[in-house]
Amino acid sequence: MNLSRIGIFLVACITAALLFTPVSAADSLPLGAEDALTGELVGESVCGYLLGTNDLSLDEVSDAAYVYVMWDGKPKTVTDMTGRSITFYRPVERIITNNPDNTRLVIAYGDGDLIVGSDECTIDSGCVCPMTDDSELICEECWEAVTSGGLNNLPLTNDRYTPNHEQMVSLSPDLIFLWMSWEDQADDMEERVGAPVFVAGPDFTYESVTDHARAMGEALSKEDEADELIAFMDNKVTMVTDVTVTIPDDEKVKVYFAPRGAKKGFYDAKEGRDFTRTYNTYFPLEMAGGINVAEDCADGNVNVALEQIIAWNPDVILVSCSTPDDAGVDFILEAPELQSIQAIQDDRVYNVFYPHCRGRPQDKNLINVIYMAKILYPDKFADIDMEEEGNEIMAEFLGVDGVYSEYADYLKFPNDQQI
Amino acid sequence: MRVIHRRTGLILTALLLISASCILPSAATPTVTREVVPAGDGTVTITYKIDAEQPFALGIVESVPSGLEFAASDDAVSSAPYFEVDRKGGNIAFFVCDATEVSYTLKGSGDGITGFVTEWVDLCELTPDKNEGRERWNTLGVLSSTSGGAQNEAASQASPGFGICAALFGSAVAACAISLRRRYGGDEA
Repeated sequence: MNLSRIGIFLVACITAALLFTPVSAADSLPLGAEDALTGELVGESVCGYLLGTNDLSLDEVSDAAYVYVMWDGKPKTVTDMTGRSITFYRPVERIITNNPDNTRLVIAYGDGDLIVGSDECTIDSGCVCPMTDDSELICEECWEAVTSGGLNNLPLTNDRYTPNHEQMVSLSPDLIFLWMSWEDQADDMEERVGAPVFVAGPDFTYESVTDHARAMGEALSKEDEADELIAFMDNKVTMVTDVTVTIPDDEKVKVYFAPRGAKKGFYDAKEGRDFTRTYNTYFPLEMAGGINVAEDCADGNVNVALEQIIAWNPDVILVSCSTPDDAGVDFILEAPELQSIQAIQDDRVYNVFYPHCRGRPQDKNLINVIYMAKILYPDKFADIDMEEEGNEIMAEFLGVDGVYSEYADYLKFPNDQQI
Repeated sequence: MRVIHRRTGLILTALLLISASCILPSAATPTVTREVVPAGDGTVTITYKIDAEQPFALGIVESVPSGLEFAASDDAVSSAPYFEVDRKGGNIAFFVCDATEVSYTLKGSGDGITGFVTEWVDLCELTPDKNEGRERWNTLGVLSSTSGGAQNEAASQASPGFGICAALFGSAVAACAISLRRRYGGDEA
């Protein structure tokens, strides 16, 4: 009796171990090569595969050929944005992303079809391709085109707060891109899932946006694509900064930026933020020639007292907006507490694109550079066609034309707001 | 009538351009073409020309029909850096990386076109599929000596070539339909 119980227990243990043992990340070069693949070894293997004179698979000879031509036959070591080192021995062909910013760059570099799993905000929210508050897809072409089988049909590997390690293991990823805000989970995730974890993400400095693009490009061996994307972004921001740099400081407008909007009033205790939340650095505002009234705040991400905003007395107030029914601007304009502020008196309170979406969407923040410039200095940027620029920017990241137009139709304010 | 013809021409041109731009492969997708040059000494030289963004790596395999054979020495077959000859089965395989063309020579009787079967695969194409079969293999158009007409024949990859022809044919049909509709009872008749 005891022996049979022990036997059952052992079988259960072995079964559980087999089920939950992480897959091993490839830790050796293809074809059993030691230090480096040579042309002779790869050529012999490929030709043997084509002629059917060896037992190698297309996966094996393709991996070998890729490493030979892309990495000079040697393993490739990259460093993530927290300084962690990762070595690849084979090409990255199965990717999990855990936040939209990393998903967006994988798509921008043409590897969307390699994403095998992603997060709730990539799949079920409008953070990459747009979606309504009621979960209706906006620009279905975007949802269908950016990944194989449709972005909203990808397996879900984490919700907003918790990773599903078992699901990730089952998808056998070659690489996991982890959001910077989850960096403390990187080593644990790597161990549990058995795949390398690359931590990456931007903050609200332009330098971090380009660093992020460059780091992701290196991880994916898409350095040329990263350079092209950075050149594209540089071109867009230069279009604005070439003008704003000429504006004398005493002619620049003082701006209060509410990155979390004012949909729930001055302060929402549940989320711990709303209109009174601001940043001391937001590159679109600075590039657009605005003087951020909060620039001297010590903390980058800070809740300020209403009295402080009144004391700053901004010329313009910018309120982030992500839904068409958001009446935050009206709330601010009508708030009795704020009537002494110059921006309220001059009726210069505007909606801008929401700079967050479980991360910091590079496309919308780049659009904000131009949109904010048009708000702050309408005469200097009157010739810029916002719809054309918005579509071009979103197409650069998502590869689909017309996404901005459909998103703007949904949001309404980009079409209706007089700027 | 002159106006209608001018419009039809414009429509046809626009349709041709749109169709071609939709069907033509992007620069990132490699294409392989095959050329045959017969020499007077009873040999034919077969050259694959590759259009691809570097870096790239392809595998090309070709089966040779009876009547043509490989020279006994590999050096006399090809100067390509990586190839293998299966003389018994009448096949030759190449591993091509970052080279825009690769050639080999056969001796014997034959036009270098009829009976050949050529397949190639892009070895740097990444896919999440972990158990790939031959899905990624491409076959060059199988030509007969009469279909090509000339000995110096270029056979482009089957799918894009067919697609372009289909698109051009479709555009021509569409333009004709518009023209006929206008002549025989269309909105402007």
